[in-house]
Amino acid sequence: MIRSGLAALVAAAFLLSLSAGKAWIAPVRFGDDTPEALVLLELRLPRALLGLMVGAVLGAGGAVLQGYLRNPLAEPGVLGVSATAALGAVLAIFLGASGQPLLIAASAMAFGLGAVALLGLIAGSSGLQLLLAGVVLASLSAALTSLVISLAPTPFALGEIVTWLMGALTDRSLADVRLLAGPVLVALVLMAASARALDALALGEATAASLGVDLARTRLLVIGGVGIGVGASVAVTGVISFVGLVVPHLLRPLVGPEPSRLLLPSALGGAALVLVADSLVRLVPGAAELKLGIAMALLGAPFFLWLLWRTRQELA
Amino acid sequence: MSGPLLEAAGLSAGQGAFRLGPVSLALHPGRVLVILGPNGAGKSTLLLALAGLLAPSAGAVRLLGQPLAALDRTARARALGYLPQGGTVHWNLTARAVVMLGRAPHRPPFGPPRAEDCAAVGQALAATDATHLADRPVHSLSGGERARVLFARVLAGEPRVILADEPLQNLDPAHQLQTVGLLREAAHSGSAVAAVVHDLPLARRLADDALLLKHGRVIAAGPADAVLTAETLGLGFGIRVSGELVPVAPLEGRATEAQ
Repeated sequence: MIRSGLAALVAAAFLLSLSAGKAWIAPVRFGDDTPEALVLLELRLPRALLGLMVGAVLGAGGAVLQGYLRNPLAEPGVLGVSATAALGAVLAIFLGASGQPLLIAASAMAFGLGAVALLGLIAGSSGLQLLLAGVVLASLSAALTSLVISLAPTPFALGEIVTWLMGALTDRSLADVRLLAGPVLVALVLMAASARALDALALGEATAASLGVDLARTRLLVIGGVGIGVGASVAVTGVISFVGLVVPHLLRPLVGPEPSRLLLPSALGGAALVLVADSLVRLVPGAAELKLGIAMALLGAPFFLWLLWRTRQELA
Repeated sequence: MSGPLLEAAGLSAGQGAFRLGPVSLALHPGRVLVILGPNGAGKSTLLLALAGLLAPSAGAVRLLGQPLAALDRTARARALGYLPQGGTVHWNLTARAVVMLGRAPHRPPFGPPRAEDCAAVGQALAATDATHLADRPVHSLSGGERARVLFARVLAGEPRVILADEPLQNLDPAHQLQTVGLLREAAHSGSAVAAVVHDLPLARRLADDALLLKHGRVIAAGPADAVLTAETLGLGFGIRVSGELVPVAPLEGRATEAQ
């Protein structure tokens, strides 16, 4: 029920993303021999496809991280995974990979994997430790990113890095779609493979192991899935935070708290959220378009604070 | 198979500075072993090592006649049900969903629960008097209700060997007796049971065999009648124990090391 509802929502958001913009274009114009059809195919379609994939992998990544760490505050952005992946990409651009998206993506993915692995090593299962480790990781990555920016050799490189950091789906091509599709697919498969184990982890690591869960394998699946997925999406679109935090939270009351049941709905919900948000930023009046990453943070940060406040209410 | 379902020989294990063992024991079908000892004696460590969740520093465990390490995870998980002490549930699952987790080693990796899984869950909930709690979120349950649901989780896995760490904790007297009855029933139907118990009279009610640990060492082991005596328990816990195994007073100069 909820899944088909979410799927319909994603389809509607996808159509909206194709149509919305300074110029509205009905998606039925595909295949016409007009400038509108060209815009649709060359600009809007890649953008919608990227939004779909990035949203899905961020939403599912949040659900998986929350399940694995048994903590509803876990999220790739909050835990510094996105920031570290961004550092990887910025470093690659700095070192002269600016014309080679593949290299940038690989660097971002490697850094993303490293970040999740480091968090898994340091934090164990304690939520507080994990959040602190995430905060430290995020600020360290941000500082290093600033360092790289300040060392940027040319104003052009500087501009490229900064624009890219803000997180946006603008001016992407089908080449970016092809680049992202593989890693996103791999990431989603890895995450799906960890689902049943995440359920058992609700009883703690020892009991999960006694139920036949391979803890080392689960850790690898989660680290691999989140690191590859978030790394690749950051590499192509910059940092888009809070999707992985907000979406599982909104859906948990609807589908139940089992991580395995939350996974697919979170992927769908994440896709819908990013597609809608990316359509909305195009409609904001003004010469320059509002960056998606900024818009998402403006929406997500208050939500996160509200979440913390509500958690405190429950504990009190 | 007539031999023991689970067997430990010269088992030693350590957690931090603590060292357990060597412990040798055998769990036979139809019998309940009660493990006793003061706090910090190594009872939980022993259960973890028996369950294969803590690598032994020496000695070995055999499950169903085979070395524990030689069995694959699923076979091990099907044969062995482990109930941790004061088990927490991290998400606010329904009681039914928690019990369904006990079916994990039996279920195929994908797909919804099968009819046999639902049947086993229903039976386990009924056995622990928790059917009426099935659709309640676990975080809304009382300590005792949650303990029964978590025990039902173990039963749902239909294990041949049950390793239970303080299964009577948090239960009111009626449900303590009921859980004792369930453990005895599981043994009666051919399983082997090892349980850590602190209540001495209930331990005597439950036990066929008993093992008394202190400072990580076995200080008495054997048939329950031989181990669960006022004299032996008094020595093990440093207390005076009445003929009905009711703790009466700490021994001279021993204060309250054991509860």
